[in-house]
Amino acid sequence: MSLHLVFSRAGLKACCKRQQAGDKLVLLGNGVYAYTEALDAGIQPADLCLLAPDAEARGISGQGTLGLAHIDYPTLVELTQECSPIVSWNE
Amino acid sequence: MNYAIAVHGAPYASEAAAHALSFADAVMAGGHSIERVFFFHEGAYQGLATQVPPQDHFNIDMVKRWQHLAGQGVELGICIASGIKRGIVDKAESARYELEHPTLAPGFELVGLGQLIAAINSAERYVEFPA
Amino acid sequence: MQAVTRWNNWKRPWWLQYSKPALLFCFVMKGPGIYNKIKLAALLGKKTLTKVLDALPAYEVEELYVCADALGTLGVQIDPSLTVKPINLTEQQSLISTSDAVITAQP
Repeated sequence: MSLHLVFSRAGLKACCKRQQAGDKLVLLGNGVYAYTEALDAGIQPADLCLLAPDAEARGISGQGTLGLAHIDYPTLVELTQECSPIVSWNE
Repeated sequence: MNYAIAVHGAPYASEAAAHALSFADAVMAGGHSIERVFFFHEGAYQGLATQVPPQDHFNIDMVKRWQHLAGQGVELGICIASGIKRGIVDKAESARYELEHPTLAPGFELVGLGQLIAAINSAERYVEFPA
Repeated sequence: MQAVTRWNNWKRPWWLQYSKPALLFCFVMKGPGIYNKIKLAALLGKKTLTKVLDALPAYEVEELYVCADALGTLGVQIDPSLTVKPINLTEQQSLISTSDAVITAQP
């Protein structure tokens, strides 16, 4: 099970083409804006989350993200332990 | 678990360092270890000693935060090729190229790309923070 | 250009000084990186990676792939002098999921 760190909309587009069902995706940085695109691309809500500080900085609150999890850095570290490899996508 | 981390973004133009530092802090707080942080491409600027960011800038204490991590035993390696072409030179490179002063911040070292590979080889996880 | 690594027990790239399992790099070229491969870069005044790619076997980097999806999107054909294998997105999924680390290398 891979972990995909998605930092932008362009990164999400590249990631969605190459990730497998069951992989986990974390939206970070400007990638948090792309949560609806991620769901539209067929990513399961249970496999998708946003990095909380980045979402909050962009005015994206938990209530507005269709029930998606907002995670902190300790949880991100836990995800990196559960998944391998960890792939970063920014373009 | 042991981690290798790469930072590709510059201090003022990217969130790479903010993400990487917060991630690294969480790794250490969780009782894990970091084999090396490798700075590549524009990320080499993270080790520039002569940064003077505005007082209200978000990266005001980035160098100090990196140095704190170094104080905890984490190696901070700047790709020597990425560094010297951007003017980030240590004493040896400064002398080699007959430059006036070294510009590498304490706590960082210039290393070859092989150190990234060695870190990935030794670590159990590799995490990259792009520009 | 995105480098995908696979663990291989007995190959030892020159840059590794350890006896642990070494790395076999499989470069996957996608997007604008493909232009470098077909030498258009010289026409555009950009640095070409052709010499680097030609040198890879010397470093035991033997598997070189190009993203078939990007080839189609960009309308690019593979230079016949290059030993590269087009792989589709499904194959890239498999390559990523069976790797221990994925490194992004930006030109």
